[in-house]
Amino acid sequence: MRIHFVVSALALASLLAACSSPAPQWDATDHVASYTDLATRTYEESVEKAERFATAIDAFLASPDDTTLALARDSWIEARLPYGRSEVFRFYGGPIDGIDPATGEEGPEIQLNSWPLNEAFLDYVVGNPEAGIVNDLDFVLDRDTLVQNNAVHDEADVTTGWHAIEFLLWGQDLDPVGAGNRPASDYEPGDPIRDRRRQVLTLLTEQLVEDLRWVRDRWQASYGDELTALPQDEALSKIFSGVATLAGFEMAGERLGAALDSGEQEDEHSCFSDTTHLDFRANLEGLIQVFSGRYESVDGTVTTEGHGLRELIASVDPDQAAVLENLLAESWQTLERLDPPFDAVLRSPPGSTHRITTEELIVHLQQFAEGMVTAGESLGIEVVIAAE
Amino acid sequence: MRPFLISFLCLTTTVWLACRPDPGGDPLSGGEPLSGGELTVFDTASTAFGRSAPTLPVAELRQVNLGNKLFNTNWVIAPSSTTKFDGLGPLFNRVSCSGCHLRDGRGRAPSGPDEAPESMLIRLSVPGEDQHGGPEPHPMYGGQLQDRAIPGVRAEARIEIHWIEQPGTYPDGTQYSLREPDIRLIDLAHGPLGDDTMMSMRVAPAVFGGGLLEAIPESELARVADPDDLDGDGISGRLNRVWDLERGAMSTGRFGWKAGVPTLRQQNASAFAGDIGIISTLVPVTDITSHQESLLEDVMSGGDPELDNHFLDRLTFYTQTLAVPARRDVDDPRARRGETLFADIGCASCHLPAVITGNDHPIPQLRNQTIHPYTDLLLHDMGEALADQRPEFVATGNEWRTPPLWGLGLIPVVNGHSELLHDGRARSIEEAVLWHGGEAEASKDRFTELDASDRDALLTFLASL
Repeated sequence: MRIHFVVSALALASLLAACSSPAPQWDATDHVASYTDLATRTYEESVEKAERFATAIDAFLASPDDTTLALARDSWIEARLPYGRSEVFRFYGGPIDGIDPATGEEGPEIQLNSWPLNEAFLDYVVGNPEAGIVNDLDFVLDRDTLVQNNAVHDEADVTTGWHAIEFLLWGQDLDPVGAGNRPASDYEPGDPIRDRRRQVLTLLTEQLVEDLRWVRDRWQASYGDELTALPQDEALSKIFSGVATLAGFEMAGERLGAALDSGEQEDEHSCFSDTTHLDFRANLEGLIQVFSGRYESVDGTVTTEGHGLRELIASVDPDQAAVLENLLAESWQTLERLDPPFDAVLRSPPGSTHRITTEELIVHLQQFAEGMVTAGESLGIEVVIAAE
Repeated sequence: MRPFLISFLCLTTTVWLACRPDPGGDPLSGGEPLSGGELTVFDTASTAFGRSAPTLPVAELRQVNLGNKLFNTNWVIAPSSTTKFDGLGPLFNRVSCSGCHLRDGRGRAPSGPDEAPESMLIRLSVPGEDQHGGPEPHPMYGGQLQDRAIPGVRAEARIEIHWIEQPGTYPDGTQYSLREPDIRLIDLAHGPLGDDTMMSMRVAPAVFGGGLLEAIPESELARVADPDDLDGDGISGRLNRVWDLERGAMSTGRFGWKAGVPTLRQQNASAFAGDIGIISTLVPVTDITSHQESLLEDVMSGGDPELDNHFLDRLTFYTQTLAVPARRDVDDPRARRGETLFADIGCASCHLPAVITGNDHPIPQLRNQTIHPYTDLLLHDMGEALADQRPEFVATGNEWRTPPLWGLGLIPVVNGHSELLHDGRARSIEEAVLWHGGEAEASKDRFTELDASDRDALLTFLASL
């Protein structure tokens, strides 16, 4: 029993410590306000670009040829950028991935961005020309059915979102150098299967736009206010945790580290379009924007200067703020040195420049994430790197 | 059953209440939200079972990520372009871990004969014991039935589950209905199983929290065990002793519905071999018997081993460090009432509310954690109605390991169903309670004798876990 008693005493001490929260030496009113403004703007931009993408899909389906397909693919890539930036607003139960306490509804993150996906669950693949729900005439095509069938028996049985659409636009990436190259003729009307494919693409695009609007509306209508109304340490705990988790877990661990460690070429986030490097870039831009408080739209036409986390951290620990800023800058420079496509990195042998550079990027991001936890300690807030 | 950490519980409860706005009077009320100690996560969404220990250093998250990837990887037929992930089958149940343990959660039984099993399997054995005292595999079909196979190979059988309803009535007149599976095997590849074959239908359990269960000191389990019911409370509680492949010796069983496996590493390697047909250094053979070796003639191996050792390490690390979702509604008066009743009617005798992990688990984050798994990891006679009549080492045909109850209320959110028990027969927490028999018969009876409001309170408490 002795050991239990010792542990109890420790638990007692920690619980008592948790009870008393000394008055903070800082005021984060402006920083939380800037953050909510940044999040709202980013989702507004994400919706805007997704709507433009939907228009491009309409144009493509109205007359499917190489030109309209190329335009549709380009607008998918463009729409991914603000979305990639918005991923810094994940990981703490906010609108994108939390449960709305008012309605019990879960945010659409899984619906929007699931990967990897079982290609053959969705459409034909090499060796199986009749695979997937596109070819399965018994599968009812409407948005509800597609949403309800997302990841039901297998997390990779993805039927909705960015990467399902990506597969529908690019097809399998069987090219060691380039991206997938599904022919525009796959969408020629007048054949039952091709008509189904047209329908799936339309429905998934509609769903994507609707899901993004839902998140934007939550931020516009109430979530910003909810965050502002929280005790500041709680709001900051969410904000910091989102930043640290995107850098340390999602980017360094999942998208870079595990991809390198598994040793498979197509183990990358946007594998069909070979645009994974742009995902990294957008994720990093999201981190930089929240850290600096400076918003700049993807096309560079709108900029606002706000109060970033850097300023807040610097108010209690200027050295740590500088360290973190430097790590973000180094991450950016390292990413710039990484020649796309990312599957070439995955294919490269151990010891190659590609891999060494990627490992450097991983270390910078991990150090940044840990640095955010340290900065949180200086501010007296809990920062969780949420591994999900 | 012996008193369990009472002094400790009182102390922490008091301290915890000291922080709370409304302390309440009963020491058992108010409960404890930190179900997994420092490995508790606050997530009530469909990701609730898939989160890793928040205490892991950031560098180790990379291992978690690879482990998670391996958990979700769909294994393919060898040879393939993805050489690290091939060697599926030739006989298998599912092609990935997450195929059965979707989002690190719980599987379910088919709802009827037309639905193929997606997250359950059927274990087989014949009378006798293997060389280590474990179940003797069926001479033709092996230790479990694989209902899928790669192209060109015949699956062992098609599994059809028919449900038989059994109506029942509470003492207060309220009616209920329980269902029992009738397992039918169609298209048996190698002829009938034989009359002496024992079958046990097993649904995939949730994966999270396993590392913490692994870290409970063996001495603690032994202390709680009461194999001969010396305290005369009608509840025994026995440790399973099972074959440990790594140690090459008998060890305490902790995992599986009858605690037939000692460690998560062995559990993972065994599942790879039996369920996916992927061999590792630890479990170098699949479930193919000597009579089925002709199946292998035209089948390519995915390597020897097919699962790299460091992949098994990463996967095991991942399963060991999966965190536990926090308890919800701790302050809800109804849940608090239910928690009191849970102790009063004897549920807590086996579903132990608290335990402290040891200080020697290889993963430091798992050490010295006060956790609330609601299990003693011991074997209990659960009565004839639940019995599978298939012994597994020490466990008799009537005995089952107390399953942990943490996360119970989140299964619908994560896995879209509320089915419980080893074969998924219970469609709700209430039905699971009503199936309790044997050593749990008295507690079950006390439950049925509660008035409707108290029964509801107890179920509310369980759903808050």
